[in-house]
Amino acid sequence: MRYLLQFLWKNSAFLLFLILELISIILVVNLNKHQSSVFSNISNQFGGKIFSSYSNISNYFHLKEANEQLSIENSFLRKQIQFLQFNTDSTHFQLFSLIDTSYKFGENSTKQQFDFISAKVVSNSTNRQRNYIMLNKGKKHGVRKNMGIIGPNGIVGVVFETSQDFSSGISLLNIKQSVSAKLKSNNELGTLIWDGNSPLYGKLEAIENYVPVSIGDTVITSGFSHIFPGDKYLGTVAEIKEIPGKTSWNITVKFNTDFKKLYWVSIVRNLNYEQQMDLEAIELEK
Amino acid sequence: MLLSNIFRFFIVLILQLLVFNNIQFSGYINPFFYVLFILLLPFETPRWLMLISSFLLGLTVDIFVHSYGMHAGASVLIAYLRPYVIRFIRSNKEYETGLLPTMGHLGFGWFLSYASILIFIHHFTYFFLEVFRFNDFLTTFYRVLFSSFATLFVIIAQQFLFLKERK
Repeated sequence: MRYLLQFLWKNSAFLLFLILELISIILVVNLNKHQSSVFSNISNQFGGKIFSSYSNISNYFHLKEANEQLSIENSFLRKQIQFLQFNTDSTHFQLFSLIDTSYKFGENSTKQQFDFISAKVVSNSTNRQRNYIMLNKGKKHGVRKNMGIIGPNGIVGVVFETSQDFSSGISLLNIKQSVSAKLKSNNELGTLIWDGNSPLYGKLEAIENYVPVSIGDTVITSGFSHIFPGDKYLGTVAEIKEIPGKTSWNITVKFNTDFKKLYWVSIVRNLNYEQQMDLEAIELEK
Repeated sequence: MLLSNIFRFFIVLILQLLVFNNIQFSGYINPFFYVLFILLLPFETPRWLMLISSFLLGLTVDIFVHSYGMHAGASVLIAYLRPYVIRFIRSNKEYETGLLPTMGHLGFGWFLSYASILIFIHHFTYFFLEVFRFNDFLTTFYRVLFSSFATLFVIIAQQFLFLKERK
């Protein structure tokens, strides 16, 4: 016993080193379960306070860029309003109801499905394999887990963790994150992922190579996820390669969003999220 | 001595989180300036204290950037290896009491080799823990190299800025 204690005492530094490394490795491996971690909730609230006071200062230096982004987005939204007014115009409404009999004005079909909460980015990274983004809106403002985050130029990420005043999102620049996407030209469905290399480019997967794709094609959200509305910009096709021995293309997509320059974003709330999830759960049971 | 080290702990932490985490060149380079704290701990620091303080420093950085365990693991490793590296490099000066592992005390050449070895080990561990696989070895290795140079550059610059010759 005495020798054992002596031995342990002699190698105490090495033992401590082993214990600490073990803790680190356990933390790294369990990283995937971060969604429910209590840890990150505390750090969210505390870190959010620090980062937001910091970004209050640093935002002054980016006011010009932020303004430009917002004004571009404004003009885009204005165009959309015009388009919507055009659609609900009575003459066109009749046309609509002829084509689609389920389209009834003022009934469920026109019920708003998505709600938007505007938020400021308080911290953001692009240089890791798993990048996160922190926003200054939290539970208090109605932000919940699994809400989408949309920037002025397209999809940014998904909320995974909320505290009272802040929320953390998984950025699209995260090797664990994927988005259901499609090609605008032919509605071909695929999955947009990030391979962990350049923050400017992502990969569009699962597009079969009999589908014609050309460089410059627009990639948009499919609308089949419960998180994002459809037809939101993701990026454009930058490179197409064949994968030897496989039947799908290797497509590189240039993100429409510059993740290094994100100042203001909108959090998307799907008002039917619970309903859709419940239905899906029933489907799975069968 | 103790106080100045505790002070340095918080200074490197704040600088890392608010300044260096926002420096991003081409998505590859991110200097980990906080390693400076581990490099500058006095020679006679007890090993357990060195390990625990490095672990806490790494873990705090981890908590703020959601990378649980990665910075902590890399930091603990270099804290453990530090005495061996010091023994390995050897200086023409004796390691006497009151001597600090800084450029002012032990010279540019000594500090450069000391810092570059530990920084490289740290970054190597961190980036491979982050990717957690060995395919795309070269891509990850480039990130290790580029970031190591960036960190080394920043730390050497800091040493020149606050150069204190030994009295």
